[in-house]
Amino acid sequence: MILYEKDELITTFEIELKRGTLTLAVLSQLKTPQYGYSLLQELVDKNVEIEAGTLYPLLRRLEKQEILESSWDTSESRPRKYYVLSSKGFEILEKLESIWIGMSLNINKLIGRE
Amino acid sequence: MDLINRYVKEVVKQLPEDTREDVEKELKSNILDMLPEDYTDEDVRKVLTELGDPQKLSKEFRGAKRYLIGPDFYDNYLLVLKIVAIVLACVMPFVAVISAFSEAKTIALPDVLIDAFVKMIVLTIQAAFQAFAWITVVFAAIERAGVSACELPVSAKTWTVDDLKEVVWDKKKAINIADPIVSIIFSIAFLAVMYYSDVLIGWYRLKDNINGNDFSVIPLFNSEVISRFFPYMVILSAFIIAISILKVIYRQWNMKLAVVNLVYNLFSAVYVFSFFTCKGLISNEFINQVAAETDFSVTQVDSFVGKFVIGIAVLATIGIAVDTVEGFLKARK
Repeated sequence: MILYEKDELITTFEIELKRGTLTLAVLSQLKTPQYGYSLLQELVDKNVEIEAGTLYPLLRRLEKQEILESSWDTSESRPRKYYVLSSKGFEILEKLESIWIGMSLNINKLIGRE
Repeated sequence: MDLINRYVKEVVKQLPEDTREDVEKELKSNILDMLPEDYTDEDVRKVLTELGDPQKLSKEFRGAKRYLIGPDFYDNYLLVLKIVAIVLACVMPFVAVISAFSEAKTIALPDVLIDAFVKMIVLTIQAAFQAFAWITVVFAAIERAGVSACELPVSAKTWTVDDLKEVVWDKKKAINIADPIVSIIFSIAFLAVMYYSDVLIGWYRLKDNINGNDFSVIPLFNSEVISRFFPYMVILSAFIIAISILKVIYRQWNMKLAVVNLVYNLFSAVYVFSFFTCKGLISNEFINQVAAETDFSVTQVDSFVGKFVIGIAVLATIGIAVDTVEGFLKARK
């Protein structure tokens, strides 16, 4: 990829930043159970740019890593798979939150925008 | 609904058995959530387009690695390729020459050399492709086997400022990189020589055109014995090559390496000993020839040769023992 155009470079770096914070964003909304689409909507409403094709596999991966727990809700008209943080997930989220706060404070200082 | 089913089937088609059903259920549920109450075909098309190429989505679910050999193992991969290339470059001319000489019908040197040259080129290209293919396959497998990357250091010695000095950092433990490479070259050359031993090693005689050859060879070794032992020679050589590669990668003795070395040396000691003490190792024709050319009787030559061979066996075994002990001593410090 020959990305020497300013705009393309900015896009690349922006994507990197977003990718870096995606897990934290997703985990932060799973303190209460959500199903795929409801989570997607909530994230989009809160200005997290994520696509369905990214979120759904991510949820499965996080479940495989035992960060999320899932259960099928068959009470409604249509069965839905709900995800929520596991206890390990809660711990990880807490840690990530403090890491993020520390990091962003530091970066803000660096760029002079404290 | 049909479109949805087709889409979902396409996505889960390549997923492993155990997750297929669950993903299918979940994905369908998600798609239906993305659609309004009374959805039309239009709506379905929009949603499916939004989800994108089912193949791509399937890859995301599979978590398939998008590379053959990843960054963790790439350096080691390159290192192994380099070593093998060096070995081939040194060994191939030698093997080609041996092969050419063994098939030589005349002692006209130019002809034999030309043959050797051609063989060298052909053999080198063949061997190079084979080696490249096998090394790549092995590393691609390692990549997918979930091996922890830190188990294969490119070089186990961690750099310190002391390395800048002329003095070798830890002479006691270091493995000279030339040694294993020489081992590899030597074992391949040895195999080649042994393979053609019935026409290479023996008593050469100039004859007047018997069978159209300018010379004949009375083989030193009994070819039956050689062919019996040859498969084991190949296996042992394969081991020596593997161990030598390990030595190059680790660059210093450690306990694991010393133990592996010990195991290999045990096998080769047993093998070498049984090879040299095998009855009838030296061919009868050779013994007869020696007896004919000297003043000794056949029985005298036979017993002398027998003692000589056992002497070699003992020496070889001692040499192997020394190597094993050296390995442990160096690993200890």
